[in-house]
Amino acid sequence: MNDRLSCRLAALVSAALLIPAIALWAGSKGEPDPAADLRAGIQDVVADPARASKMLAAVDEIEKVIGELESLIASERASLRALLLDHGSSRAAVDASLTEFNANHESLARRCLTAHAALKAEATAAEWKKLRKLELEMMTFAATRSLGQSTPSGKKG
Amino acid sequence: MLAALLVGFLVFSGGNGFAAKMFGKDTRALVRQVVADPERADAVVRELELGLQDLESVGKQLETLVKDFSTTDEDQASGFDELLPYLQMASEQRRNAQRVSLDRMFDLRQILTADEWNTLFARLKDQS
Repeated sequence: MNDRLSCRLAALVSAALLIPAIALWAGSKGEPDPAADLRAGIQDVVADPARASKMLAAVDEIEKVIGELESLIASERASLRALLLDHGSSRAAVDASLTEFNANHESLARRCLTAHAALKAEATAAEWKKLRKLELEMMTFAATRSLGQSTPSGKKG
Repeated sequence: MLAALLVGFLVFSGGNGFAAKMFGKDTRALVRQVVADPERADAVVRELELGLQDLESVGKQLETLVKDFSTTDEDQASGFDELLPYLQMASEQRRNAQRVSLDRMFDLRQILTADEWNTLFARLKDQS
């Protein structure tokens, strides 16, 4: 799988299914902060303060949702690990755990997609062309961290 | 491997998802160490190979989905309504991958004793 495809893969999963781990980046010294880069990009590219403000609010929402996913996933990971480790646990118990997780996960994913669409809706086509890459990097960063891959080098476009 | 990791993530929710580790090629060598009975070890390895094939198959479906999503998302005019179907398809794929992987895991539990299962699980955890 080439880098471009890997990037797209990670981006989709981030954008549509939502991968957490962004919570870990905020405020960490020496760590890339792609959410801050996206915010700076919006302030740089979007001259209209009203639209810029709405776009920044959308970024806040995306970051918030991803933080909530981080908690959800940590909780489910622990629950599943315990269930799977137990050689006698029932399939029904595992299914029930995943069903609840999926419902919560999909609700958060929908919220993130809503915020993503709101961000796009406020942008002009020209602005989106410049900002999309920054949003993609934000998503890819979260995805690669969650997947245990090396985080992107933070190339700017 | 990224595809398997990704599917592992989708299935079991986190980086280094358990499914990706369980069905990864390295597990086969662990099985040979943990399961003394060669026949049962072979059966487990076969199940692991099938599990990996399942993950790779879902990974290929996701690649197509990713490509289509990315193409659609490039257009600034494409909004929630245009992107939502991809979210729904991805969610469905995740649920399917969960079901298939759990089927395999429960098949594995039928073959392995509780001690073998626990030992294998512990060693997989140590590798993460």
